[in-house]
Formats: sequence, structure tokens, C-alpha cells
Amino acid sequence: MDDPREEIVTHLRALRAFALSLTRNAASADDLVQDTIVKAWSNIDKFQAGTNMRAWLFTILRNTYYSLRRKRVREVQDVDDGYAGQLAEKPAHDGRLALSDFAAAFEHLPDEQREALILVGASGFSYEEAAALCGCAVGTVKSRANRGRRRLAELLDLDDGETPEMTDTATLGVVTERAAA
Amino acid sequence: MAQKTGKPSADQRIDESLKRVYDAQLQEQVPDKFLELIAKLKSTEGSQDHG
Repeated sequence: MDDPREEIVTHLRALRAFALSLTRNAASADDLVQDTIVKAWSNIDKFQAGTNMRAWLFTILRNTYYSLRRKRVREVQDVDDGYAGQLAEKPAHDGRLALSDFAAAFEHLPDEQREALILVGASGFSYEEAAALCGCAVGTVKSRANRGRRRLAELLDLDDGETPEMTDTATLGVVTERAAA
Repeated sequence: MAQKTGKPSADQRIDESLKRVYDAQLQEQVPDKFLELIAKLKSTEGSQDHG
């Protein structure tokens, strides 16, 4: 009979990515993942076989993060370069956002909004799964994700529907003129 | 008065960037200390059964 703990190792990358999005700090993220591993290991009897282990591990990780956050009165919220720095990338010219800009803006969002966006926007959880994971209502997750998106759009100066490259011809004309000047 | 456009919306661009950031993280090797920790947990488990 398989020990479900054998599966934990397959989720380490996802756990670390989620931890990084919460802590915004590589060292804290690693600590958080290690705490999560230990808790998952010793509480494996609480894992229901056949359910989504990644969701279970993410739940442990986020609960650990928020309980630490409550306990610790952080003097300064250190944001090291472990996140945005590693992701520095050339600005794209295909209408995509430069990842480094995006990552920097993302770090400005409140924890709950980053979490909601990572869960539903990036890691492929449904709103229902994310809500279960966060122990809140589906509407709460949706509203956090939407507020996060609005804030990112503000920070990145994205007006809805407007992309740098393919707006109307008038705008394109201005852009071309500027480029030529 | 909802305005729909066929262009990628800000939300779509944000979600796309989110995925790219997250996927970049997923490509990273996990630190050895995670695997060492699991190995340690396994060996502890082997020597003393929890009850």
C-alpha cells in the first residue's frame, strides 16, 4: 500500500512557487515550505486519500504563513531581490507585459489578493477549490482576485482593452511618429 | 453599457503574466534542503513509529 507521503515530493516546486508569491522573499519561502513539509508529514493521517494533495499542501502552507504573520510583528516588510530579480526579462514587444515589471507590481498587492490571483490565475485551481483552500466564500476569492487585477492594471497602467500595440490606427500613428522622432 | 472588445483585456494580460511568473518559478530546481528534510523525516519515521 502506497504511503501518500511519497507524493509530497512531487509538489515541492508548486509549494515553493506559492510560498514565494506569499512571502516575496526566497529565504522565508524556503522556511515556509519546510514547515509545510514537516506538518504534512506528521499530519498525513488527516489527508483524505483520493483528494487533491496539492490543495491540501497549499492549505497547510497558507495557514502556516498567516499564523506566522499574526504572530510576528514585522518591523519592516523586507522584499529581497529573490523574486523580481530572478525574473528580469527583456521587455516584450508582442503586447506582453515585461515580467520584471509585472512581478514588481504584483509584490505591491496585499497578501490575500496575491494569494487569490496565484491560486485561480496561475495554478489552475477553480474559484471553488481556492475558496475551500482559503476557508472563505467563493465570492470572497472572486472579489480578492478582481481587486488584485484592478490594482495591477492601475500599477501597470493598463487600461482595459488597450494594448500598446494594437489599439486603433490613430494611436498606432502616434506611436509610430514617436518612434520615428 | 458593457463594452466588449475582441482585444486582450487587461485581465487577460494580467492572467497571462501571472502564469508566466508562476511557470518560471515552477521551472526552478527545488533546494536540496527540501529533499534532505524529507529524507530525514523518513529516517526518523523508520526508527521510531509514531502512535
